[in-house]
Amino acid sequence: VIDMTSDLTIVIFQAGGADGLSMCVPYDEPHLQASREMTLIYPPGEGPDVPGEGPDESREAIHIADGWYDPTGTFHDNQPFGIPKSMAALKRLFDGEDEEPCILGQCFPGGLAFVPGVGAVYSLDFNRSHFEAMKFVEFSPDGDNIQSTGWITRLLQDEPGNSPLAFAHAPLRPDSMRGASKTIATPSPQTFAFPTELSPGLETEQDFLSTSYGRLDQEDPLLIAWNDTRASFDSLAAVDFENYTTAADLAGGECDYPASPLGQALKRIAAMGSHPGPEFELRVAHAVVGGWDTHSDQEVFDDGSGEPRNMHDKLVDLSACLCALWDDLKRRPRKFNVIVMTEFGRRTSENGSMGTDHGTGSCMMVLGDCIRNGRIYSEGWTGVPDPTVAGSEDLPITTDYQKVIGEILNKRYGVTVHGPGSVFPDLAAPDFLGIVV
Amino acid sequence: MKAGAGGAAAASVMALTGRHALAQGGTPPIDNMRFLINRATNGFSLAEYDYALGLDPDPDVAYDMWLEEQLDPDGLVGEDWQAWEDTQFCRFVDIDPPNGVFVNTGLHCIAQMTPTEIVDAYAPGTYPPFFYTLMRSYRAIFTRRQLEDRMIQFWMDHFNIDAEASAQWYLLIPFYRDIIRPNALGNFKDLVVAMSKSSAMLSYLNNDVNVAGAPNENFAREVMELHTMGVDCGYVDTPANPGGTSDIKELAKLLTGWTWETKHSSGSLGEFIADFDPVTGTHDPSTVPLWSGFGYSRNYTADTTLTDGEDALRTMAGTACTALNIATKLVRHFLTDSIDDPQVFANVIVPVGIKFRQSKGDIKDTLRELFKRSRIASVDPWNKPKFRDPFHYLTGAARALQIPRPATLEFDYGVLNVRYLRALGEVPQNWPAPDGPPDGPSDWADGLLQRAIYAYNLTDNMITGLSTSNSVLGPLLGSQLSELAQRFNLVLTGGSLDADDVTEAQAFVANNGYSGPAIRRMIALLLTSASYQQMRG
Repeated sequence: VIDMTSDLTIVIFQAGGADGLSMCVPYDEPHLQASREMTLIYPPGEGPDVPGEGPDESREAIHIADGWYDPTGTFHDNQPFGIPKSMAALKRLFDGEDEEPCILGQCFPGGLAFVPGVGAVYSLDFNRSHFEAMKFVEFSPDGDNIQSTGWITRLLQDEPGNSPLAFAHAPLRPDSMRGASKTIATPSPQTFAFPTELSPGLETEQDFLSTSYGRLDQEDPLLIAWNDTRASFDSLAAVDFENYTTAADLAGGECDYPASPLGQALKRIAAMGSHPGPEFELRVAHAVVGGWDTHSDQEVFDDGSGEPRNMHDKLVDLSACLCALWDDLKRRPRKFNVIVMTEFGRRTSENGSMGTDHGTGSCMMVLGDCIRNGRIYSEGWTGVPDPTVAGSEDLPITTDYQKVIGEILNKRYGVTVHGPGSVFPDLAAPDFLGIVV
Repeated sequence: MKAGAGGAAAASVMALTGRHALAQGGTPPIDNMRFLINRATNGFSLAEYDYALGLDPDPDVAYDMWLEEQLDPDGLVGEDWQAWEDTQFCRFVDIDPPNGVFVNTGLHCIAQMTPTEIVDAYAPGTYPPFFYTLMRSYRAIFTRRQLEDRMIQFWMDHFNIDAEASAQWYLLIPFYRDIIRPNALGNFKDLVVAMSKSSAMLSYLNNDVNVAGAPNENFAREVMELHTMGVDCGYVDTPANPGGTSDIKELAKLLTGWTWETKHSSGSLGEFIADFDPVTGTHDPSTVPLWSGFGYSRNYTADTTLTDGEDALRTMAGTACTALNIATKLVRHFLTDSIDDPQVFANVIVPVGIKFRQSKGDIKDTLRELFKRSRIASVDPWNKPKFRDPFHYLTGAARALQIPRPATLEFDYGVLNVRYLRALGEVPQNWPAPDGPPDGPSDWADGLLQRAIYAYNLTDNMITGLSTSNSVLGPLLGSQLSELAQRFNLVLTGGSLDADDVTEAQAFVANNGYSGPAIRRMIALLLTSASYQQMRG
């Protein structure tokens, strides 16, 4: 059972399979340099020459780390990493702030960390399908089977408290919330209200519907959805979405929520998550951002033309969103975690249309005030293999995504995340990466 | 259900209407025609039901006649949908973008425009997708070609493209009009080939940039995984087969050079191009082995024409895996959500799949098999219901209330059900991924509040373009206030709502004095009730 003073966890899902090699960039990898051209992010100071102007800095990585940490805390200095210019707003979050608040007796500023080469190792048998990979990462496996409930559902099952404990900013809930109660999915939480009743106060109409849905089987998703819907009217009405002012505004932070759909979704989530109660206490929120299936138009740099640059623009927006969440939520009393994930990574080699096809290993980002920031984490980074060798076209999955989520759930919520009956039954042992303080 | 009350209500409504089977409490008897009208249309309507039963004194003969009429929709009497669409969607141009102020110019017949004409008439990314949603919604509600329209929606979802993706703002309407609509009741293999050559799909899944030497696998993957064979058919990709062949990659190679005319100036914007010139072209003619791991092994050598690519598409479309994939989706679309039920699988999905394959993808033959009267008992509709997806829910309510087609289409952005579809999450062709929207209760359960909001607004006559004025609802009321809820059980579903829902709706309207607002609210509550969300009749 989760303590009422628990963290707020926000999952941002990059639908379509985001190219991790463009987000957490092993920029000096010779095989990457040899197999990409238009989508390549160059080492710092080595951008492609523009005649008469010198190197094109817009295509260079920003260096963030000299190496990576393994689960024992050992630092490996054999691989520098960078981020593209489109993610420059995240450098401050990765490096951390000057002041260092003390959490659980340990002083750490909190902020952003990366996990490259991450994914669902189980998905390798499934032909790089989006839809199979989504099932793996959202339901997660139990032996040879995919589970029937999502990982967020298993985290929150039997949890006391008013609805909603889990929230998806979408018309449909993600698979990670399948089978959950006290869960609401709507793209408009700010107008979540039953239409006017004929006899105000009597609730005869809502009672009619409760009786009607009550005749369904106890496990019927329609019954659960109606009960959660009705139970959430008062909870969501208590949130002042309209006047939610970000702490960033109040305290002079640098970032505010962008006007993009993702930015506005996260602002509403922050308003719900920061609601002081006692109506409800949101635990996990989910927002999806699409467009990462970059078979073409994987432009990771701004060419200055003023035209939209697909992946570049998406990364700018995502980075601005993370920066806003940080500047807002870190100033609030409640601890928070943000998990940025996708279903799979993309092929090492570029195709003929300035894009990359479906691959395996990707990149996760975790942000929060209990995250040991400024580090790259891996269970055993092995570099980028030579994609011209048959069978070596992908970035290998060197870290199980369940380890990353599992560590946050275990250390911040105190739940068991390994072994039978747990959130991630296939996780053998809690030998975590050390991401959470 | 209180058996006595239900029995009495049923008897008197039977007296009112003559010949409808009604819920008696518990499991109502199967009424074949009700089943057919519920499933094969965009929503039950008593008028359609009565029309169908009137085709022949023998209800079985009438059933078959109605189905045959729908399978040959050009012969439907009184169908004037196309003329209406052509006039109504030829009147508007936006004089105040982006605010959307539309005036009648007599120009811009969006329903008939070529991609070139659409690009000439509209600013990029503006109104054509909005017009498409209007066209789809209105057609679904008001055309007599109901079964064809349900199949159009099925194929539009099966071969999903996202209206918001790059060039779709001008390619979507031609795709719907020229590729899907003419083939909706035709042959599946022809449809797969036509779809594969359409500018809309070539653009959406990037085959237009699939070139020799560095193939783009996007379309090759999804045509195999989603459009035809399914992910577990036995084809392989490299992670499962390290170092071996990838059927995805080989098929992509075979389809290099299939592209479309993107130059606006040529006047043939959007037309298919086979870029096969051995010197300047982007097609890779090299030998392509496909599906070596299982029974459909092919080896295409030095392909310099479209023949081999088309053969590969037709071969995929003809596999047993494809037949099972399509049959399962059809059964789920029309008949029941219980596609994992052993009886449904053995007695419904398998025979439909066999007919699909034996008929070489003949869609009419497949639908005849799907709607065989003898099959309905295996579906067991009361216990294995079919959930109404959001689109079917919205069109269904409008059809059941027999809302008349407006003489003149007037609209703004709140018109009809567009904004309600958006709130529910199922605007046609607004699903970003190529798998198309899902189709089941656990997928759409989170939209119940939005359904209530739609039902309340619809029955309060608040939706532009869908009038529920007294003159529309009045004729549906029947003659006895004491039978009002039972009457609407009949109007909305042919009498297959839960009997307890009906009893309580009657109590609600009685307690509120049978006022006009209360009657409207009673209809909304029945539309929002648990038993309306799932077709059980």
